Amino acid sequence: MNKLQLPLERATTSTFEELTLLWAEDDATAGGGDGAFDHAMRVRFHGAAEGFLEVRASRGLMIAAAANMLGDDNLVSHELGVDALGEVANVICGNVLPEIAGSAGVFRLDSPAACDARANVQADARCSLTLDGGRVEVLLVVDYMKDQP
Amino acid sequence: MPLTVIVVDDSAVMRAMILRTLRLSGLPLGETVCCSNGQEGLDAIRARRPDLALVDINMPVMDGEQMIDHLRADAKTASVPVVVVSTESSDARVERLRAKGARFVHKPFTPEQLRDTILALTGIPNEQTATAARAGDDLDF
Repeated sequence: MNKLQLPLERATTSTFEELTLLWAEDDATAGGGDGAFDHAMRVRFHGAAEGFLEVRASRGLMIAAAANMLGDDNLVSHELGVDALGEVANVICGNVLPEIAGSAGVFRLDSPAACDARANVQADARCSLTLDGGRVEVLLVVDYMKDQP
Repeated sequence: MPLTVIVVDDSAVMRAMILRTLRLSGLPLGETVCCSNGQEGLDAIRARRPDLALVDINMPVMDGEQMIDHLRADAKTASVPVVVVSTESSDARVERLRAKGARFVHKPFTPEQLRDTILALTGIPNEQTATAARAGDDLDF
């Protein structure tokens, strides 16, 4: 297991549980997902480390996450579902970066952007979870990391 | 006295989540205004002089730290209480924000963390929120 894997699993699990109130049914596991992902949001980061974090999810999970965040099933549109998935990606990214690059590093995160959920990505770490609302996969790609003192 | 609150975040879901948390917290809320980037937030604050601003960091157009710099540089807005609600965890940046008088709440946050930070910043007694909360119809802490 590389040094990125455990921080990614921790940040993914805690973000889904605390932000979207969706609990993991199984432990976080490394490896690929089942490919049944309709949507993906990617957050690029710059600064003490450069790369991106991507969250892939089914439409059902995306809507469930948004409904829980809003506290109202009836308010959720497709656009808000996409927004929620982007915010999940943003929070996972913001929480995992200090763990892998040190809390002294300063990062700038781009706004989440939609991307191809089925693209073949050579990730440096990958985490799949089964949650109440479906499956989710999170990929972390690090192009550069500043040496920690 | 009801608080005028400005929420600045580029995520519509996060803005709604923060507002919901504020309503459930029992804080005496008055007008609430949502903005999706720092420039919009700055304009809204200059126009309304709110009692509180809740601000994300990473946003398009103008980020939260730049927005706070503009606020502090203007005598008319320098004293507006700011809570940064962000995923930001860099020690250097958090210290910089604290030095500018901002409080910090880390995402994901609990309703209690947000409420307690606001109480500490605004000086509203906790009993006042408890009374307001008891009068509400939905308390889901």
